[in-house]
Amino acid sequence: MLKASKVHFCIRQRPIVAEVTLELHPGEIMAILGPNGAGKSTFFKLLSGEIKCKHGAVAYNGHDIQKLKSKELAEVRAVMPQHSQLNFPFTAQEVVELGLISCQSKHPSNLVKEVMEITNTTHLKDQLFNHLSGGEKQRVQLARVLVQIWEPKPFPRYLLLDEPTSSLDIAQQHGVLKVLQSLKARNIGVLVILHELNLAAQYADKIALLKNGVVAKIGKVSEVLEEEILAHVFDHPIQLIHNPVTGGVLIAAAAQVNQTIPTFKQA
Amino acid sequence: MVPTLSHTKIQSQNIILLGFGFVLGLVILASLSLGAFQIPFPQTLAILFDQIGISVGTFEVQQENVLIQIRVPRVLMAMLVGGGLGISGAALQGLFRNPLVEPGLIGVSSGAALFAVIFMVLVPAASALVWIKAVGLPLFAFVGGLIHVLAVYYLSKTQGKTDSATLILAGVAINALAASLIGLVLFFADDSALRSFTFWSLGDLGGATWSKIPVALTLIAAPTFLLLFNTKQLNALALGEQEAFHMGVNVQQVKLRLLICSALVVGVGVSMVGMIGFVGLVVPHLIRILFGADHRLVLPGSFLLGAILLNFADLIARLIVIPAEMPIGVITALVGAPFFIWLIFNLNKSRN
Amino acid sequence: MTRYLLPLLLLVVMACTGPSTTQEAASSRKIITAGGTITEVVDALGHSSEIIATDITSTYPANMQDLPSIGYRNQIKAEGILALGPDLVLIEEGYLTPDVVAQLKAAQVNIQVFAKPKTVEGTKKLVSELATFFEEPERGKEIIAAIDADIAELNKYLASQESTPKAIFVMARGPETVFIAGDKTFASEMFSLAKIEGTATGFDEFTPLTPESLVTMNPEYLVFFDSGVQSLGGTDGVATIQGIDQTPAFKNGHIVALDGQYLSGFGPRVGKAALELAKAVRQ
Repeated sequence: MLKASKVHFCIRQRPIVAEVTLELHPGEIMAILGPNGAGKSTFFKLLSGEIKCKHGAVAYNGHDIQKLKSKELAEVRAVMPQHSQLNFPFTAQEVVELGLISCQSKHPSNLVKEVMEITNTTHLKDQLFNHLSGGEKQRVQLARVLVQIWEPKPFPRYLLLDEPTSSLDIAQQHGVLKVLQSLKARNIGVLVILHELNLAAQYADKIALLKNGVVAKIGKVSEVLEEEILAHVFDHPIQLIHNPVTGGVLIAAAAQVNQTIPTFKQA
Repeated sequence: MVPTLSHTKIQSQNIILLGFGFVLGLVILASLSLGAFQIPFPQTLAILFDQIGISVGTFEVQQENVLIQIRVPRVLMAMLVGGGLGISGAALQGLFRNPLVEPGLIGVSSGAALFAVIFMVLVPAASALVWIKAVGLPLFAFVGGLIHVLAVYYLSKTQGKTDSATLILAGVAINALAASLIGLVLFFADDSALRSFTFWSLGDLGGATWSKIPVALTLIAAPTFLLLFNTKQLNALALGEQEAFHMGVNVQQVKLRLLICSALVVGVGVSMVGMIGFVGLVVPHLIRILFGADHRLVLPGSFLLGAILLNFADLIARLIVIPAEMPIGVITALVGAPFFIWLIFNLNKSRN
Repeated sequence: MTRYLLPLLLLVVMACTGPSTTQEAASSRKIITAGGTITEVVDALGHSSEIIATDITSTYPANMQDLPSIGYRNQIKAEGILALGPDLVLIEEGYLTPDVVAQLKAAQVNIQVFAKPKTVEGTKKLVSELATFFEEPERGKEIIAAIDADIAELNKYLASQESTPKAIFVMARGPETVFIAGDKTFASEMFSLAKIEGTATGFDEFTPLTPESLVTMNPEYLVFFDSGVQSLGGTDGVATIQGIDQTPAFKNGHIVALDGQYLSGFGPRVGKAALELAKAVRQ
């Protein structure tokens, strides 16, 4: 289990993440949703180990993140960033193979092949990474982070993704989320920051709504997706519609009638 | 291109490195055979084989003296310094994640030269303990190079990335400062054993003697080997420092290692032969253009290609205005500067 | 790369000692000289026909410059010297870089180093050292006697003169690169020989010329090398030096130019040079 306990982070006395507690279990997908400025990215960096929290603790499988060396951490969690800049002419395959650094695999070439097939990037393998389109680059990056945690291990692993669908078209978006779903069966827990609420509604098991550094609501998708709390978090009237394809809900912006939406001061 | 299975990829990389080694051997042979003093090729071979106890012909004593006492140390020095510049250029480019970086441009070379000059002023030429001077000078130059590269690094760092423009500007500033200080020190020093300003700014392999080789060999070979063990980390670093951290690389440790090894290699080279520019820029690029960016090939390939190119440039320097010699920095600049311009042009093109 | 390291290291280890045979001096020797004064003395001793090449500062006798040149000071390379095949290399101390000297010694060339004379005593010492080396003791004594005679004539001239003119020596390599000679230079020594008051005192060696210091020194005569005046564009060009036109020397047209090697070499002609200088400032 990936556990964040009362994680707190300030910039100049201003709390960006305020005493957030959260649990991620292997075999589930948790989506972090919230408006811009909610503190999602900062919280993400606290979980990945990029920055240290002022108070509170983050623990992977019971080990405090501060006590883990970067190599040990890399064996237990992989992180997919939103953007990466590569200044050298690596091929797509070479980028994917970077993920092999931390995972002493016995069959590296098979591992890479398998992962590239799943992310539909095999046909790109000999092209220069920098010549790929935005969407292709993201899929190659996904392949790279998957390589890091793909192989079965006796302990649960975790995948943290920061908006992995931002440059993807609709087919690719659903492709990526289906890949994430397939990870559940491999003893992997997935934490993903998403902007598209409906993707979260369709694919996530749990949702955490963040606003102003605080968890407004966390729980199963069906519990969290509720018009009033969504409107409060996103400062916009929301209407939930039944989704005939999935049986779940579709989130739509409701018409703006001349009513004052309660605005909340930014902390 | 390169086959997909990693096993054969490593094999093909090794073949390429072997190829470079072979070319280096040829260039060394050419460098040993040619020069102001004429030694016919059969005699060159005879002398070389005689060193390992095999007799393949006769030669004159004077020929042997020139070849063994003057040319061999010079070729060895060119190999060590050229290789060192190549591999440190590649390492620094990987560290700064910027293909426009090289020891000369970012001020490592001039920092090393400055400290070398200061050392020579503080420790008079005729002082006792020649041993201390032989090792102390290169090490002091290393400190100078290290200080300068750290200054440039911190000047140009914004949000975990090193911006190209700021990097070059920081390098220009540091270079200007070091050059003026070198001029200042040389102005006030009256020891004529302090080498001239052109020695420091354009380089000169002519002073290579056997007495300098052991120090150069140890202080360049050791950090070179250390760098070769960091190829995987350099690959990971190419995506970004945070991404490398996420993949399990101890980024701070790797950065420190790269900086220290590069500064040491460059510092030692500069203290012995002055500043030779552009090798560290051109060589890693050529390797990447030809064979891809995998540091497992780029690092050793840069060492070998740097050794090849510097020996070749020195050969030209020695032959073109016999019996005088062209300063080697002139030749590397004549080739390197247009390459640098082409690089900038290409980078801008790919950005638009 | 590792495959080539072992044979290379082998080469390095095996080659560290060269053979220990020595060269025998043939009767028709091939000599290379580095340093104008040495060339002059070798010529005075009657052995200049053995010189096969020399450096740029060896301008006397003039035909020396027709020989192949090995270059100038620290631009001289060992292989360039060796390529000419000398049996003997005579160098002025400090003229070649220590590395090149080490290389020549390692190549087992017969290389002899001589201190550069800075006084008349130094000149005589060099003459006797070279005379001993060339086994020409009689000739050496003759040269020293000639120097003594020159000095005697100089002193005789000076005894008849009352004035002690004030002068400074200006080293010019173009209008932007101008230095003044202070104490412990050839200029201060020559001035004292010619009974000239050198007003550029209080500092050693050379210092860049500044207009203010020129005025303070207030020289009656300005002494240059011929090459220095040439680099300024002739005697008219002297005016281009900032501040020179304020000196009484310039206002009176008292500019003295002598050949570089003649004036500063402290060779066999040193006495004659001092006399010529003494006369030039007492016109």
